[in-house]
Amino acid sequence: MLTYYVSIGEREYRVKIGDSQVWLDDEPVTCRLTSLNGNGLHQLSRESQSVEVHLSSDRRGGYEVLIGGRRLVAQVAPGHRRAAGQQGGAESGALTALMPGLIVEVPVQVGDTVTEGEVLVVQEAMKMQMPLRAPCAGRVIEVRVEAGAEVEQGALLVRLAPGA
Amino acid sequence: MKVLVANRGEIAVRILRACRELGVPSVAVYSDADREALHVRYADEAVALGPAPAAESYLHLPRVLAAARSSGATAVHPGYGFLSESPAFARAVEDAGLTFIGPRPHTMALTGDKLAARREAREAGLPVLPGPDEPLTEALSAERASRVQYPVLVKATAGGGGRGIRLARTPAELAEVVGQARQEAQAAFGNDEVYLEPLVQHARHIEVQILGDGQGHVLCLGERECSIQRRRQKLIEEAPAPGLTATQRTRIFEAALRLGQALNYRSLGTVEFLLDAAGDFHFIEINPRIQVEHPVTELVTGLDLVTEQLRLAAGRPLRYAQEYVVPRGAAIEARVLAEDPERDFLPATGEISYLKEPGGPGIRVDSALYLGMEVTAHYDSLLAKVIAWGENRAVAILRLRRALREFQIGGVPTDLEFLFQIVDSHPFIAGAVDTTYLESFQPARQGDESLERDAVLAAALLAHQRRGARPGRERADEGNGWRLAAWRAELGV
Repeated sequence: MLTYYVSIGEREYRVKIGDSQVWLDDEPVTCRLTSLNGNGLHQLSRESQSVEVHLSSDRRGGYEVLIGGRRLVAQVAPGHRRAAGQQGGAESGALTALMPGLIVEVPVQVGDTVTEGEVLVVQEAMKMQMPLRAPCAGRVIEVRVEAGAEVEQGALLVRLAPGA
Repeated sequence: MKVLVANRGEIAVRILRACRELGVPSVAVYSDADREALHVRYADEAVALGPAPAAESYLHLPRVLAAARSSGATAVHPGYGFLSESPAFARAVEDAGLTFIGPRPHTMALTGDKLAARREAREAGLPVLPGPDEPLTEALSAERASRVQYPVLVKATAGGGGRGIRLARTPAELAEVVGQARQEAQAAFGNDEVYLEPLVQHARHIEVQILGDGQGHVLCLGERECSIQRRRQKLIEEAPAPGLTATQRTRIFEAALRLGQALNYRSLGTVEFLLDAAGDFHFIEINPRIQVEHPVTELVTGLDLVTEQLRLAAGRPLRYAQEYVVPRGAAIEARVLAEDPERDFLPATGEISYLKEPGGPGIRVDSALYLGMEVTAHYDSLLAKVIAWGENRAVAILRLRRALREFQIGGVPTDLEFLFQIVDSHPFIAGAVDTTYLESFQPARQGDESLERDAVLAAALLAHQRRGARPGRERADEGNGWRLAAWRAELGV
């Protein structure tokens, strides 16, 4: 089950999505999202209601949602970027470890300018090598680990100063 | 007859539609920014004008004229804005042996000079706001200054379309405001002449549509109310004007007709008035062109104003007698702009990523939008007009509310929600608004909770579906299943 933090304006919601169940702020919800045209138009099906929604990503990792004649902009942050007590994600430029494991490679150093999505750290856990990517474009201002380090889940690995 | 439409956007498409219905061959013109515009594809032929800036394209008189000549056009329709109120343009078209689809150049010279128009209106017996019909000279004599009633409007003599107007609330402000107004007028109209006009408090903007054949016959096609304005730019217009008494209506019609006849008016024109709180109306100006809000008049009269212009230009007589013009029902138009109310109505740019125009009973949409269209900042921010007609105003309002909710535009922020809130507000529904309404209008901050929750679910579900895809590849949509598989393979999962 994965967690997502969705903010619209000043309001924030927590959505948990499992294989067969979805929770919105810890309330179970029956819903399904189906693509209607492979080009952003979707149908959000609830128990007895279907709503047409058009979704598209803007360049800053947010979503433009057209629904019911309104246009809303939502920022979606996957839960793994939000370690306990930490406001992670694009705003703070903090990259944290997804789970406990070993740091395999740190291809960046302090002072580097990186683009959103660029690999900052490669972590190995559960026999997988996982590239951990920059949550935003920015400059590397702090590197807390090096290859061979053992880290705990949520540990701060790299800090960026967001911005081009 | 072959018509060149010297304009762009929704009005160009509007005029081209009339040409097509009448079987008249049409020519579009376009700037570099409009190479892929809808009006270019709609016309039978298209001629390039030049770079994007209006001064180099749609306002470039020699280039527009050259396009008319090279395409073999026999008539030119100027639309609204751009060269539509330029007597020099009208004259140049006629000198080139072509028909200008609009008033005579001589008439346009008069209507383009607000003070001359006021004089003409006064002479025709119309009520005109008190004030010297002379431009303001540098030294406002002490005597003149003492006679000015504040607040006072400083208006550009060569202005129009609600532009070139500034307000001086006190004598202390006057000098500075006049200076600013002159600067603005010079930049916008190439003429820094200004004049003073008393401010009518809580005025309603009422205008009358006239159509003349230039042979002494002038028709009155009813009035429109355009009091919903933001910074003097109209946002919502309707026909008929709610709350006008029969007496007021008769008087305003007679006044408009008198002026039209005094000018031996040719083609379409709009006589603008302000209705004050005491119920008296005052002539403001006359616009010698088709207006943005003409659809509301078309819907209540059942007439096609552009077709009438084309027929008159082709030398046909006026088709209708005044008795034939009987308004039925009510029509309300809302202007959909690429402006973000959350960012103080700053014009927005972007690409139309999704488009769903409203439909159903009593709904008309005038737009030149298409999926993938670039919204730029070169021209005005008007994206589309939604017009609702109903057998009475209440039905028109219900339909407009429905249509505004049906209208979906993706890729740029618009004022659709703002328009909905206005149309949904009690003073508007009661027909009790004046031109100051939007100054104190507070849109409801409360969003629709359940709608927002649905939006949240949809966004989260889509993010979940895409979580395997790499950043930067998000433009690809559901068809990226294979990419997800490839990424997982790379991870050794």
